[in-house]
Amino acid sequence: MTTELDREALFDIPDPYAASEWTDAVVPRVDELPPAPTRMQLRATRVLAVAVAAACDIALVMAMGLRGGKAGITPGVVLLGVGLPLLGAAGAVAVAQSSASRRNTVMGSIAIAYLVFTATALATRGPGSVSAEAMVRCMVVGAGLSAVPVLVSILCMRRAFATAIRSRSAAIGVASGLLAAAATRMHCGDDALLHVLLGHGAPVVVAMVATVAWGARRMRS
Amino acid sequence: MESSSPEAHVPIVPESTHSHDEARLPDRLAPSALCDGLMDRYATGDASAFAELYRQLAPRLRMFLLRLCGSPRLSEDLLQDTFLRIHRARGSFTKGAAAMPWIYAIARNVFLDNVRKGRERSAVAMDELREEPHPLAHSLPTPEAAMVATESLAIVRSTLERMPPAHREAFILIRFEGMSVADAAQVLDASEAAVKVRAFRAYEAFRSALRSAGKDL
Repeated sequence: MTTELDREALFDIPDPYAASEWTDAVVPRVDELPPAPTRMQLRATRVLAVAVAAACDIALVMAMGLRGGKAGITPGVVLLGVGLPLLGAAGAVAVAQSSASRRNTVMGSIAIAYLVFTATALATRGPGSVSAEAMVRCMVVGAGLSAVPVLVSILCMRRAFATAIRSRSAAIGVASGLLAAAATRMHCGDDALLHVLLGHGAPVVVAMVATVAWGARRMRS
Repeated sequence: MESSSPEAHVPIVPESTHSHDEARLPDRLAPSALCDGLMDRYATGDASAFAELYRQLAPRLRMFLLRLCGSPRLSEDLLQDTFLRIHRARGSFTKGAAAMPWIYAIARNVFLDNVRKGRERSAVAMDELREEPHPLAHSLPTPEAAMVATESLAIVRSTLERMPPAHREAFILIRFEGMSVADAAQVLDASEAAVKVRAFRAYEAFRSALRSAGKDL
């Protein structure tokens, strides 16, 4: 019984509310309801929101300065250091919007973040310091860069999920953090493996926690 | 699942009730595909789909909310809130997804929010229903059988009120809403195994309550 539920047996229990069946549903007038975006309008808003978040991060990176010197912007850095986190961000959004269970959503987001970071750090590792000071600086920069994507995603994903709210909002947070990690890589020229893994990876965790803490309630429909 | 007892007195569920429930199950499941299409149309902005969606779903959702909260008046308020939330979240409905688990999950969220606000199952409202006769009382052979069936319903109702909410939700979705275990798991955001265990525990609670009152399944 614990493995196979006998549904027929459940029908032994009578319905105590069967006498309260209600058939005279009075349909509310749809024009009296508050405006609600359609799927296309929502999609357009979300695309715009991603563009705004990306533009803000690009502007911030330009203001702080692009990575220069020997460790300048090479095709490898753009392709792997920036492209891979952006691909991971798209994957995390897809996981959040899929019909996966709570556990699979969490596992999927963590797996994406971990794989993207390990692959990025390994593929682009190069000279750099492993000083705690540089690492903390990048953590602060990364957390700052993730603020706009987190804020924008909380606003544009309002009432987006009916179930598994925390795990889906965590996946959205991972996507925001990966966007910030891509921007951080355009600014920071330190390619040491440990620096990239911790200094650029920690803001992803911060973005995830912040999105769950502030966004989960708003993302619930 | 064993459902007979040697110390049987009077069967609490007459044959006609069994056939009523079994006949109702396919009817309850039938509109799922229709609702998927309607919800999809509504998500793309077809306002005319709302009225049809409401006609199809309002009675079912109202019964679901009534079974959860126990108050007819409150269930109607919650129903309005549910449709308002469905309307507001329509753009988030994924194309090609099953509408029923999504809609039931929203209804459950409305109920849970209401519980958090403190307007929990109202004892006064419960009294509105307490003395209702068995819905099929008129078709039972003797007044004694009708009385026994009515008493049994009161036991089922009070057991439903007292059991842990997680067990109650799982049982309601599978037994009364006619959902598959997979759909119920989606609504409750739990694994199928967990939902099966919860529904079974609820069933055991009903069986134990009825047996201790001298009724048999």
